[in-house]
Amino acid sequence: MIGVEGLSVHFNAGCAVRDAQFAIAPGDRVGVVGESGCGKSVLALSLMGMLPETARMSGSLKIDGVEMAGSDEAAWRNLRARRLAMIFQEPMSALNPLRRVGETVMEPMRVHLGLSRADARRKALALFEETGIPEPEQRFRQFPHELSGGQRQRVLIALALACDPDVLIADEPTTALDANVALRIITLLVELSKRRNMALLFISHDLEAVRRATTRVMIMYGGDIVEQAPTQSLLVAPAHPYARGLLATRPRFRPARQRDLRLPTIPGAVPPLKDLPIGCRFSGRCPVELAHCREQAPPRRTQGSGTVACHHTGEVLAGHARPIEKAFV
Amino acid sequence: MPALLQLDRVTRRYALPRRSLLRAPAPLTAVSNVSLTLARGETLGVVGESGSGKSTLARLAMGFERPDEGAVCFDGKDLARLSKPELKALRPRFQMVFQDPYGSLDPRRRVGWSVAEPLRVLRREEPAVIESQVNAVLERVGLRVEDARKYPHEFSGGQRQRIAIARGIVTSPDLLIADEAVSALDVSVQAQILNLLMDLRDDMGLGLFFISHDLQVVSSISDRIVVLRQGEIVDDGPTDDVMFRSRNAYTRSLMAAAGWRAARDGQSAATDR
Repeated sequence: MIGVEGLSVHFNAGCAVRDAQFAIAPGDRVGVVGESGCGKSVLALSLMGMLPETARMSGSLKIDGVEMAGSDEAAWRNLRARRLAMIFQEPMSALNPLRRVGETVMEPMRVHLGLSRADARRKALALFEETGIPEPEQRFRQFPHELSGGQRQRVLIALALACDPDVLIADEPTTALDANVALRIITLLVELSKRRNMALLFISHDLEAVRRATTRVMIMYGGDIVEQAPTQSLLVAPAHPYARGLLATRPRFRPARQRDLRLPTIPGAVPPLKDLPIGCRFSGRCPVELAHCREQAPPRRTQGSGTVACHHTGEVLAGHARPIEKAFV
Repeated sequence: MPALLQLDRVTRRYALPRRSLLRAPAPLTAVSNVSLTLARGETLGVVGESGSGKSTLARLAMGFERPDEGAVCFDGKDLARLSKPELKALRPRFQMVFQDPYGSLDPRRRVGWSVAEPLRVLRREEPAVIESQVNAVLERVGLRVEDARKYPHEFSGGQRQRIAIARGIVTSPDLLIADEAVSALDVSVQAQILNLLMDLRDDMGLGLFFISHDLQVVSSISDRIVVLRQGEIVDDGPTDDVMFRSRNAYTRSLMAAAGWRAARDGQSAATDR
């Protein structure tokens, strides 16, 4: 349904997404994981045709077999109306504070589907029901500030579902929520995706959220998709050094006898766009860097049922799992 | 020897916005009957969801607010009984690091100015003394002396949190309260900042009062954990006991949400990998 090949997004400061390649089929649940500044959101916006004017996109982006790279705003608007929807991290700023949430959810149905008020209202109430909003009739008349964070996020999901999209892009949908609430939102998104055969692109830096929400995951670093694999296998046995670092350095419970040790870290920080190395983006922070990593972009290889972009061969990455993790100290 | 920080049956209420002019505003109990102690060199973790009273607890421990009931004692002194000058004289010994490294540093001031602020305000030191102490503390947290002349926007999130920590330790405190100090940071940077806090704790003998909504983060460095829910302590104990043996349903739900396998299948798995 969505096919991306050699997609790059350039800003004046540098390259925010480089040579992305992936496909999303109906009902797929795909995670995008990476730290801030790694290009996750830019990738999502390019799929929505919502990149800022200063961005230059190259490569191929096909939606339903139609080439969307370079197409005009009218074509995008049509797609966004019917097929693509997106929810954002901040449920407060994404809702108009001056409108009752029911009105907000009805609007796209009136505009894009041409429904009458009564029909739109009926459908919006059904969506409130479907997204697990308690007492839908009552919530319908409330303003965003009267709802809790979790309920606001449910309203946003209902809004995104208004025109029955085929793809839902969720950009950090649980980051602002408490752990228990986040869990329920993830469960809801997974259910909706299954029930409606709707593809879900789930962007997050929270590996636990991604583990629960997705079946496949792409790890991004510095604008590159460095590894792509089924979620379960990637979380158990990541191949790319950055993916390994991300998993190995995540703070987590340590028993008392280990707690005096320092936590493993990835040295340094994600460089700003303009300072990204031209070769492998992770060079400079990678513990197993080779001489040519900094200058040459790494090849993308098939590994298991996924792909890895690294100068090390698959055998090296598969055979040296422990030493790479040990190297993050 | 008195505990470094001791909260004895502390309750704090706020008045909710009035619903009617004729009726008294309804009270909200933000913190209810909370008792805890923290010793020098020890790390006490507080876990709770938003609205659980974590930040109220931090403000009470800092003496920014007074409890309605109970007592907050620092080094045996009841903060509510101190006069303003007495509290100010004591303040260099307990300092705080906030969550948002963007909001807690004045964007129009050079970093050196912000880091020096506690020395200027609380100690009234000579400029030369202040400068040398600021330089020392910047290097201590992994920044460079030249960084004192830069502005906050020139730094990454992790570096900004280092600056905030530098300001927190510039008076050589005995107690550092960290309220969601790594929550806004990227995963790969969180571990760096946690390591810095552990180094400072061990080198300076700091008592660390570490508040976070993230159970995994809290249990990676805390000696003991307190679980806060709607202002009340629902669970507490040594970290291993809480993580392996807690019977509390709420604690277990937090563990499950954090992907802690011991809570998922009841086994004492070593990690959640």
